[in-house]
Amino acid sequence: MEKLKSNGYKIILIGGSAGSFQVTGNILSKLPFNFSIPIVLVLHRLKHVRHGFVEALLQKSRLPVVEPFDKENIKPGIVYLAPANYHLYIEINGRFALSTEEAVNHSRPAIDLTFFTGSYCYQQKTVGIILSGANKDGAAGLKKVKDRGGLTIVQEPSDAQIPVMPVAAIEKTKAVDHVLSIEKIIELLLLLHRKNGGS
Amino acid sequence: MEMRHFEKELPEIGILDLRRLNDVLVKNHGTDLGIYAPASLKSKVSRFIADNSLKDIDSLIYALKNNSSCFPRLMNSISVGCSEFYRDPTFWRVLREEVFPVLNQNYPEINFWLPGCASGEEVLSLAITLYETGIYGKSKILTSDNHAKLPGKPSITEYCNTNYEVSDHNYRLYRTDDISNFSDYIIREHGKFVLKEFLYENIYYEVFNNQVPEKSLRFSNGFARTHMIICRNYFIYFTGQHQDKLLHVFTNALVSGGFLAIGNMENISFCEDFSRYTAFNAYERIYRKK
Repeated sequence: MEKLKSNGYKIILIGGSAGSFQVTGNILSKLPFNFSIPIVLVLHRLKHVRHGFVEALLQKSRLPVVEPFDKENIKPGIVYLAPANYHLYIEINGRFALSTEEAVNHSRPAIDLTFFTGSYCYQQKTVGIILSGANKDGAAGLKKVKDRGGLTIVQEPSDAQIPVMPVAAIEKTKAVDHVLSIEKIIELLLLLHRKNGGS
Repeated sequence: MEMRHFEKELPEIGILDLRRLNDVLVKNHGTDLGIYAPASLKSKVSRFIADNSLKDIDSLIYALKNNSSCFPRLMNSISVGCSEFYRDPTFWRVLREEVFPVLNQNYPEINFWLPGCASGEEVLSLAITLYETGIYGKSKILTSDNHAKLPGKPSITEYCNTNYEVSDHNYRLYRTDDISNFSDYIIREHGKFVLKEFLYENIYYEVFNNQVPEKSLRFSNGFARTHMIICRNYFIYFTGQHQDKLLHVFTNALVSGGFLAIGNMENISFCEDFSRYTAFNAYERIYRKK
């Protein structure tokens, strides 16, 4: 828990694919409405289904959930969901940027790209979390978060519905800070919230 | 659409690296990368370095100084966004059912302009949709990008088969009936495919220098009056400041009552000229000039 001593995480990036939707809902249902750190969700999703995902998460979440528009400013107290069929970048001025560049790891949105640019912007103030999923997207991204001194968390593979993504992230990153069950991830997020001055 | 893996690690590029590269481009080529949104620019430059077996920004700068073909290839990879035919099928349905009837009724000739034509999927999807609606004959499509090609007719482009699968699926979602298929419009050859030649009939190409948009378009093919501009997922690649400039040029090119379509997650509401539009279909981001 060494890294938890340093306060002031500025962004929480969460990546997941198959089997991550339910646990994401579970996480959001446990966070207070005034959660003090912005959360960015990059979940692989059907590209033609533009609506329904946000609404489904809103049913669970006490925080507002939105799909950010291009150049939207990142603010605490909001959960941002990467929109269908776009990559979601984070610019160094703390704004989102969208892109329709080619799929990465067969995915658009690609978790790696959000983690690369998010950790470039926020450096050691970045928290990266990889949840259940059936491909290896996010592994290189989480390693980058680690290399830049951020906090890295992976869902315990035995706790994940599909362990491929967590296992790949653990192997690639090598010394992941925490490998935890969803219940423990929620506890840790609440701790980060309090350390950040939240109540 | 080509699938990518990060098996080959991409070189890390920082803001200072980008600045050094830009100094060279401004000085030697009069091109300023400052108009582009930095995150996607960095990612594209980084891929260019990896794809050309270069090592880092310094080796790219060296290649730019010593190999004259490097600059156009770099600019090409920066300006080309990946696309697919009939991206966002519902957009094309709205175009066919709601926008085209208005255009058809009001104008004896319809001029379209697609400012960032990239590899042409959007342009050809438009040609097919116009053809199916029976108004291709009275339409002209001007495509442009910032490459230094000669103005005139664009050459027929080959597309790879992975693009076919995505596009065929999109087309089915767009068309919903079984009257026609995407395959009706293509010719397959050696693992690739091309679109049938008649679709190119009313398509024209013109260079659009996005560095100085206000100075560059000559409208030489009778496009001074544009009835619809389709630039979906074009604005996202530029800084907010430059988006403002681009929208100003587009707005001036459009006739009063002309249409503007942008990508479904794009936002131009903070641009000065946005007040000159009303929403025609907000969900599909189709606007109409007042």
